Amino acid sequence: MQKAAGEYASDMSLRVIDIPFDSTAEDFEQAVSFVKSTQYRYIFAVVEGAKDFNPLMIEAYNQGIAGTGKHNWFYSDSLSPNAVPGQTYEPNSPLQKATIGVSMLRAMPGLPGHRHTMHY
Amino acid sequence: MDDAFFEDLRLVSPFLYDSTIAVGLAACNISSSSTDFFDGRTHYNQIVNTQFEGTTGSIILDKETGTRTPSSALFELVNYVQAPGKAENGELNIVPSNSYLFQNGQWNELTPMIFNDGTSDIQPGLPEITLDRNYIGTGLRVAGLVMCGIVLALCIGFGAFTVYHRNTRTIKASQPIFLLLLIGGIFLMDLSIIPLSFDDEIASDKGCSIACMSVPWLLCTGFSMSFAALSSKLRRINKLFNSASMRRSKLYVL
Repeated sequence: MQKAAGEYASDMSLRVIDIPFDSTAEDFEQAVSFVKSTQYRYIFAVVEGAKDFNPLMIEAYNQGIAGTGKHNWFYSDSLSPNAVPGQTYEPNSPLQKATIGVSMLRAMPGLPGHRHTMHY
Repeated sequence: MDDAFFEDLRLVSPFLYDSTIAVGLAACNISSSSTDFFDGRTHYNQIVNTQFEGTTGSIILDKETGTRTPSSALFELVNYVQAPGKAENGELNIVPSNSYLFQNGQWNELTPMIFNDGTSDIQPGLPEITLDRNYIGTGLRVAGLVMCGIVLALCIGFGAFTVYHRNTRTIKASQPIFLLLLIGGIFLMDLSIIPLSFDDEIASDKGCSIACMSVPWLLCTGFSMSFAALSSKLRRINKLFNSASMRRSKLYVL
C-alpha cells in the first residue's frame, strides 16, 4: 500500500494500525482510538470477512470518527461483499449512521472495456 | 453453509483460477528450462516473472512485493448507500452502488459517490486549521494604554515641576538638566508602548509595519537618553568623591 501510494499519490500520507486476527472489543477500541488521534478523515480498513465490520463501525461511531458526515470509511475486498447489504439496519442506530457512505475497493474479474460482462 | 460463502467465491474464483495457472506455468517453465526439481524460492521467483493473459486480464506481478500490478487489473469502488423505503421489519437496507471503475490505469466515474454526509462533496482529509493569531485584545490594550498614559502624565508633570522650580535650592542641587534628560528618556521609552499596542486586528499591514519600526527608535533613544543622564550624574559624583584634595570644585554641563 505504501508503494502504491508513493507511485500514484506521492503527497498522500499513510498511518497504519494493526488489529489482531482474533480481535476483541478492546482491540477495536485501541485501534479506533489510534485512528482518531491521527485526525485523518479518510480511513481505509482491511478486515477479515464480515465479522469485524459491525463492531469496528460501532466503536468508530462511539468514538466520533464514523457517522459524523466528515469521516469516510473505505474497506478492502477482504470484507465480504455481503457484509454491508446482507443485513438490515435499525433507523438512526449507530451502525446505520456509521455505515451510510462506506465504500469498498475490490478487484474485479474481467477485461478492460467489458465491464457489463463482469457483474455477477 | 452460509450463502455469503458462495457470494465471495463467485467474485474471487476468476482470480483463484489465474493464480493456479500462474503457479502451474511457473513450474512448467522451470522444468522445461533446467531441472525437474526446484525449491520454493526458485518457484516463487519464477512466478513473479511469469506473465500471461488470464481470465482477469493481463497477469503481471510486481517483482518486489509479489502482488499483482494495479494497472494490470480492474478495480471497482463500491459505495454503500441507503436504499429507498424500508424492509419488512421497519428497518433500513443499505445497497451497493458501483461508483468508480479503475481500468487502463485510470479511474472512471460510473455513478456519483455518496459520502457519509449524504452529498458527493469531497471532504478535506484533515480538520480545518483554526489559526490563533494571538491578538492583544481590547482589555489588555486598554490596560496597557492607560498605564502608558499615567506614565506620560507623570513625566509631563515632573518635567513641568522641575522647570518651574529649577532655581530652588533643592532642584538646583539635583541638577535639573539631568532630571529633564532622565524624564525625557522615560517619556520616549513610554511612548513605545503605543505602537506596541498595534496589531493587525485594529490596523492595516502598513500601519503595523510603521508601528513596528517606530518601536526600536523610541525605545533605544529613550533608553540612551535616560541612562546617559544617569551615567553622567554618577560620573560627576565619582569625580567629586574621588578628588584627592576634597576641595570645592565647579563642574559644568558642557
